[in-house]
Amino acid sequence: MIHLILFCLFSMTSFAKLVIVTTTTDIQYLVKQIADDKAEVSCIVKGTQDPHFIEAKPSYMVKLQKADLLVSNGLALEIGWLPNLILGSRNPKINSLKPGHLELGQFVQPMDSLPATATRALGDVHPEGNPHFMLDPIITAELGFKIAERLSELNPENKGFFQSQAQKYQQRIQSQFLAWKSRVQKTKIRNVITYHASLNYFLKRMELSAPLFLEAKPGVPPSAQHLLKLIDLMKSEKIKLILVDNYFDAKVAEKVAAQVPGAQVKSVGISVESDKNLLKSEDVFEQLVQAIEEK
Amino acid sequence: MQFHFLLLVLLLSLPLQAQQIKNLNAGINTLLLYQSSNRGNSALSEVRNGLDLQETELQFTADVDPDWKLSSFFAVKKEVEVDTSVIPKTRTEEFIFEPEEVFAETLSLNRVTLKFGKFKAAFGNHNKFHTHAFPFIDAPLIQQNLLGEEGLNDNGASAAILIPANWYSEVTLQVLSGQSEGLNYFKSNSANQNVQLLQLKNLWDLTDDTTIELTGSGANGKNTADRTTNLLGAYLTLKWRKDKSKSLTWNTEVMERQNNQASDELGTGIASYVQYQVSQRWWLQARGEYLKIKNQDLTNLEPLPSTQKKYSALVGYIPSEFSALRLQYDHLEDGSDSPEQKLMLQMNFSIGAHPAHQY
Repeated sequence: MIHLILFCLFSMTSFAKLVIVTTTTDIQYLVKQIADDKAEVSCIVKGTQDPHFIEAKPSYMVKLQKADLLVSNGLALEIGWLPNLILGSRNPKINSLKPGHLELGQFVQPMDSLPATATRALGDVHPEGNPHFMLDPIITAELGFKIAERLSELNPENKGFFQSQAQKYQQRIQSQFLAWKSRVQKTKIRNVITYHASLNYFLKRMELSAPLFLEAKPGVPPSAQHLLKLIDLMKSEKIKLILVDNYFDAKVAEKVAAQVPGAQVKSVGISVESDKNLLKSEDVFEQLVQAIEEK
Repeated sequence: MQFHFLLLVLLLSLPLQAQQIKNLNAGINTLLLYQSSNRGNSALSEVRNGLDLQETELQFTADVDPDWKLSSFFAVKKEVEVDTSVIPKTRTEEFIFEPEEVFAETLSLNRVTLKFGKFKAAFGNHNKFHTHAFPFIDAPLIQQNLLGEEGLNDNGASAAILIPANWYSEVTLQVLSGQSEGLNYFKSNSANQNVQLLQLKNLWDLTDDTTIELTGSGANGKNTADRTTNLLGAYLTLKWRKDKSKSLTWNTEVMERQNNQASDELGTGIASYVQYQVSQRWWLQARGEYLKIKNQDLTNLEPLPSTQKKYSALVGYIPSEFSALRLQYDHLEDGSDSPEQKLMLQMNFSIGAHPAHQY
């Protein structure tokens, strides 16, 4: 009888799925590619929400209480709400530096890092660097291996499966990336304007750049003086494309575009599920490439 | 005062060293307040018209080790005393430096947080807020008159348990000394008589954007007359947030205090407010309040008005998470010949660590 009970308990443990909570939909999608059916993966921030401005709703604490693993972005993207959610969840497994909390930002060489002398006079800055690395297809594919490593620690029996999933994902993304980059290069576009610095990693990977943003400083709505400077720059550098994250209001961008002959505004989703047609990271990258091609 | 000054200098130097202590979050918040009231012109008014430093708060939090987190909040503010027992009456004021909250809480227990130290008790909605986070510039009448100027803030122990449920349900049990400054409705003569407190908090997601919270609290303990003081409170909060530039909060809080000392004093009141975020930086707010106190203790030298009604309106300009400018108008009817009309303009500045916001 005891053997039967032990067998049942062992079986339950072996086949119990890991419960994983991610902060953003991009991370949720990546974790699902690696864990497949070996985990239940849910997310806190909706694809249509700006992850900088999430409220620490107690219902998220209930979700985190049940988590075996929390996968967060890091680089201070969630600093305004995640610490309180972790504390309120009363789940010691997901405390900082525990195996149940994986912060992806630690593995990334961040863009736009600021010197220690930076102050908030620069706006709502991230001193550790730009946290929007999930918009770089190559970085996301590399992070797949870090997720596979952590999943293997928590579920060693499936180590081989997780590694193989990470490799498959990387191969898939790398082949698509070459096609995306080739299409972008054919457009001959080298500079675009974006609302926030959220597309910097994507632009760099595609050998594009954003010399100025619509917002004067991070988190600070644009002033009239800043917009005039932007219009002058677009005219002098012949920049004809403004990409606006679809959770920002595109009205300001449209006013600017109206002052620059031939300029267009494209409202783009920058995360998985930010639009009903963007169900995968590949859909997000494809949509960004199309937005540049269609100019 | 000299000791306080040295302590303040020591604490102010800590943020400079914070870079060396990787996980120390240090911050300073300062509130400047200009006010103009038809009752603030007297030389003996507790609160005078004009511009003043309302409060500066120093905050330090850090994980102590894998099991504990320590949080400390110190306030520098002006304390005014009007002595009516002498002729002529006198008014003195000085800046004081005091610990608002200093507590250690657990990090490694499943479903429960234990807390020890001096902290704001889990009683009602408003009692949990620090001055810079008040929904309005001033505290509601029920908070000021039934819980005291400093609120129910005391030394003690707390256990907050997350109940296994599909919605957020938390029960909090606290034992407090009942001896802190301002808690004149407790202050038992016996050191063995503590204040017991129970709170049940429930919050449901109605939609992705809307939540409703219903919370009830109760506390009781012996008072100086060796009789019992009971506190009861409940509040309902409805919150809707479309995005970072549109949100609405409606909160209604009721409170009762049975302070059975020389007389069986009974204070009851209600405060209800609406906060509407018009755009990313602008807020409009309104509040209505009512407070009634029966059978006041006649030994009280300064009895409170038996009935008070107050209406407030506020416009807030909040350019970032670290600064705010708020203009508030109050109309108070408290049985005096003419109601008090007050206009307040508050400037709120924060520096240091990025705060993690409470919901």
